[in-house]
Amino acid sequence: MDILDKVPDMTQGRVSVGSGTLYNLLEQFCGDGMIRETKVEGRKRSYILTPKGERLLEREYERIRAQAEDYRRWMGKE
Amino acid sequence: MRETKRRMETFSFYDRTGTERHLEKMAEKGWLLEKIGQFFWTYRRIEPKKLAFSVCYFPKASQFDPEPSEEQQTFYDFCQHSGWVLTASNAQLQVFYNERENPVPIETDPVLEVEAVHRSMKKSLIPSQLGLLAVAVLNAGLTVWRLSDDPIGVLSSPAGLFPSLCWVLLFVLIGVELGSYFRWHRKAVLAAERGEFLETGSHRKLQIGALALIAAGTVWFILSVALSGSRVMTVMTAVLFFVYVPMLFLLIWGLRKWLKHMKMPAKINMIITLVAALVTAYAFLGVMTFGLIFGAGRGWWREDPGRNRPPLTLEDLLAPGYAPGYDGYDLHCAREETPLLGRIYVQQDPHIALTEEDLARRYGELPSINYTWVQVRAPFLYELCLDSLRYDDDDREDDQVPEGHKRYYEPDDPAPWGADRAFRWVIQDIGPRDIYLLCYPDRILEVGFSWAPTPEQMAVVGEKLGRGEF
Repeated sequence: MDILDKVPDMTQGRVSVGSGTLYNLLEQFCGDGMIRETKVEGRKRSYILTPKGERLLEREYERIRAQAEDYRRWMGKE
Repeated sequence: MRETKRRMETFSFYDRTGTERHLEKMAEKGWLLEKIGQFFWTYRRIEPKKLAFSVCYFPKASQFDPEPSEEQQTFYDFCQHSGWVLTASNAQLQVFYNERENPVPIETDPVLEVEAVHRSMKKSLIPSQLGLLAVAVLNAGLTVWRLSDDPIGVLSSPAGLFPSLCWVLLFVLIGVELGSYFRWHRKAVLAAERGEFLETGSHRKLQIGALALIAAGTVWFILSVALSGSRVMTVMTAVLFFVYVPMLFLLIWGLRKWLKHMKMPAKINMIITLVAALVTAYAFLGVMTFGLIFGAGRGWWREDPGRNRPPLTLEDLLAPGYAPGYDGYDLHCAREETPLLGRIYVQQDPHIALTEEDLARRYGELPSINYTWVQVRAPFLYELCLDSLRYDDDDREDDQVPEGHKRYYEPDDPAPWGADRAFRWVIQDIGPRDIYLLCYPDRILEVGFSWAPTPEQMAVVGEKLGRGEF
């Protein structure tokens, strides 16, 4: 459940993830090999990013950064 | 003061918006959803308060699960962390409430939410609704065919009209339900791509209206059969409505519940319940059929002759002693009616001959009569009923019937009958027969005689059946 608390913290309250959405996303990311379970304590599970997940995250960051660069270039803002 | 109450709710499975709003209103009135049953939702009394509700869908759940799976429990734990408490569930449908102000919704990604709804619908409701729709289409199609083939038979019989009405209503209801869902799904997918949630719609008024119509129709049907005087129909209807259907429902519900209690895996529970339902349904039909045959052999279904007195018999037309030395006449009178049509069929003729002498007399000297008397209560059906009687056996267009043998009704003089119109049955090379089709303002009479009726006898027929009480 740390993820549910940490996401608003990491984004300064900009992003909140619903508990149902998080459940489905974790299942999807696990199934796609982007994260893997590291620890299971009862129904509490811990996850870590896999190398594939890191690459996809890096790619997503580059994509958003490129968009931001395009914006700065065309809107003339630094 | 009651601590629980039950209500019949008619929300569509995917109508989360309407369901959430309803539950919020109920909580403000002091009722919290506790259980979602087959037909009723159970609420328990609470302090009236403002609660947020969230309807979610867990596609992996099943109505046959003995208990929530590990995955489902994990999902509940996730939700509970944000203050969402599970209040009721039914198969894939999960309902949560939250006492916090402005809680983070359970679903914050519309794409995932629409996928969860669709996977849940595909798992249970869509296949079952499509199956039922196929059966409804088949029966509605059969109804249309039967209406075109024998409109009088269908529209004058409660056993014909009531099931036809139910199948047509079911076809409309399921068609609207599935059509609405697929329309919503298409729009929801597009909205989700824009990052938006799409509210669900509702057609509760249509559902409530249709259910009310079916309930009223059921009461009318049972009363019609009970008052018809037909013992076999009364017993069959009573057994069907008060024994067969409740027993089948209780068996399926009870068996599924017991197998869940025994922690049977969902798939095995489903298979056992389905097989048990099919076997019981067919076995009971077999028992009913046996009972009908057994009862017929013991004369249980014999009609009470005093119950349905025919409005016209040979005694009204012929002098006493019309069959000297012979008392083996059969008199059969069947009556059916609905708000649209009433029909009486009467046949009075000699028994099957017992001796060669009887046989010779039967076809030579012993008179017989049969007639179908139709009262048309809905005027727009008059010409349909007349055409059905007039052209049903008309084979002038039938190439299989050789020329000279074709049969049809041709116009005749209505005056002796006191009718508005009259037709007489003709076989081409043989000539007119003593079978007549007579039209009165609100009724139609088809009557066949084994002799040529006199004008006096025609007047009696007109008096008793053309203008007499139906």
